[in-house]
Amino acid sequence: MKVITGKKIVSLMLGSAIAVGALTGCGANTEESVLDKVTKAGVIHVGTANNNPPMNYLDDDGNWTGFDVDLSQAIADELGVKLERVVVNNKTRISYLANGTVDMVVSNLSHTRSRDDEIDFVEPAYLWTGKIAYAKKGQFDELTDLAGKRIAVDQGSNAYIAIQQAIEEANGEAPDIQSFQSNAECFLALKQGKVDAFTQDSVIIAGVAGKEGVDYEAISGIYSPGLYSIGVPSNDSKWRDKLSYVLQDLMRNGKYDEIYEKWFGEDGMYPVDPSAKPVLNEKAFGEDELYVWPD
Amino acid sequence: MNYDFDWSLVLSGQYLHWIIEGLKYSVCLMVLSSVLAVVIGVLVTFGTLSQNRVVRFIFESYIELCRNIPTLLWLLFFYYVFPELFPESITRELNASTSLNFWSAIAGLSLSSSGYISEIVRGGIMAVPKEQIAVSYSLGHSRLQIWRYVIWPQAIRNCFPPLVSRIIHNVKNTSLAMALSVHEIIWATQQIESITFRGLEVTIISTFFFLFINYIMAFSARLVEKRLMRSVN
Repeated sequence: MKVITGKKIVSLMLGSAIAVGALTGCGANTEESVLDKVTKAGVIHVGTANNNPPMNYLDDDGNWTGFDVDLSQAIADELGVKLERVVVNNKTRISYLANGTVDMVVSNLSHTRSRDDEIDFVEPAYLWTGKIAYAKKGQFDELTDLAGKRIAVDQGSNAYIAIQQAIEEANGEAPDIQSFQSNAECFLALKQGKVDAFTQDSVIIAGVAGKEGVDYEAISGIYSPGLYSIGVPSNDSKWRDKLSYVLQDLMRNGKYDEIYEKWFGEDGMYPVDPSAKPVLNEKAFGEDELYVWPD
Repeated sequence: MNYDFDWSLVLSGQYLHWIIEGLKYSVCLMVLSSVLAVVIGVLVTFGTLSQNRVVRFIFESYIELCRNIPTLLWLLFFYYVFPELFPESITRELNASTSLNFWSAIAGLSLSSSGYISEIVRGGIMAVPKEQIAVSYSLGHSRLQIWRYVIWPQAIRNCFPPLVSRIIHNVKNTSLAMALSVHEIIWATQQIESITFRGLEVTIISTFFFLFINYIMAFSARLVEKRLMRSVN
C-alpha cells in the first residue's frame, strides 16, 4: 500500500476545504438584481420544504402541495415566468438564499431579526400565525409548567429560541429541548412520551397532528408570533420591492383570498380560528382590510 | 469566492459549547459502539461456526439482518419501535428516559457493524489452512490449544486490515445519531447553522474532526499491521 505523506494530507485537506467553499460560496452575485436574472431566464427558482403540512407537504399521491406551493405558483404566474422548485428544509432555507441557489424562499419562514441579518423579507408577512406549545390534554395549564420539561422542536425552527425565551422570561428553569429532523418526528416523540410537549407554529401543528389532535391541546394559546414571510436575498431592493408588489397585487385581486380559503378558510382543509390573514386593525380599518400599501 | 468567514461567532459562547459537547458525544459514540460491535461480532462468529445447524441458521440470519438493513433504520428502530415492544409500564419508563436516544444510537450502530465484523472475523478464521489444523490435531494438541496458538493469531492477522476499515466506517456512521437528537458534532453543526447561518465554518470544523480521527486510526492501524507482519517474518 502506498503511504500518504503528511504533506500530501495537508494539501488534500486544503483542497477539499476549497472545493466545499467554492461549491457553497459562489453564486451569490449582488451586482445584478435577481429580478433581471429571473426575467431574462424566464425561470424563478423557489425554495420550499415538503414536510410542514399544511404549508408544504407531499400528499398521498406524492404531489407537492400546500399553501406555500399554491402561493409561490400564483407569484410565478403573476410574474409571467416558469416556476422551478428546489427542496429546502428548515435548516438550509436561509443558506440557499444567501448563496444564490434559490431566488426566493416560500417555506413557512417566520420573519425574525436574526434571519433578517442574513436575508431580506418581502412585505407583508403572508400569514400571521404563531407558536404554540402542544401537549396531552390536561397535563399542563400554563407555559411556565414546561420549565425543566422535555420539549420537541423541529431543528431549524426558531421555536428553539422562542420557547426558551418565553419560559426564561417567566423565570422558569430552562427546558430540555430535543430537536428532531421533521415535525412528524416531533409529534411521534410527543405521542410516545419521549417529550412532554412539542412546540411549533399553530398551523403546522394542526397539519401534523391531523385527526390525532383530539387528545392534545395548545397550552395557553400563542406565545410568540410566527409571521410567515417570503425570504429574498439580502440587499436587492429591486427584487424585494417587485415581489412585495406582486404579493400585494395577489391580495388585491382576490387570488390570495382564494388560496387562503382553500387551506385555512371555514370550509378549507385546515380551518384556522382566529384568522391568520394579514389584515389591518379591525377597529380602525373595518373588517378584513388586507395589509396592502396604497399606490 | 465571496463568502466572508466569521470564525469568532461560531467559536464563542453557546456555539463553542455545542461544538465541544458535540465532539465529546461523537467520541463516546465512536468508542462505545466500535468496542461493542467488535465484541458482538466475534461472539456471533463463534455462533456461525457451530456444528449445530439450528444455531448456525440463527446466527447467519442475524448477520443478514444486520447487513441488509440501513444503519439509520436500525437507529430509528431502537429509538421509536424497540421501547414499544415491552409491557406498558416498561415502555413508559424507557420513553421517559432522557438518554434513550444515546443508547438507541449505540445499539443501532453496534448492531449494524457487528454483522460485517462477524463476517470479517469468520473470513479471517476460514483463511487459516485446514492442513495446519489437521497437523496440530495429529500432534496431539487440544482444541483449545489449537484455537489459542494456531487459529487465533493467524485469524487476527488476516482480518485486521478489513476490520480497521469497517471501524472507520462505523466512526463515520456515528453522525447518523443526529437523527435521534443526540447532540453529537453533526447535530451541533446543523444546530449552529440553523441559528447563525454560518454553515460553512462549522461544517469545516466537523469535516476536519472526522478527517483527523480517521487519519489517526488509519495511521496507527498501519503501525500495528507492520508489527503483526514482522512477527510472521
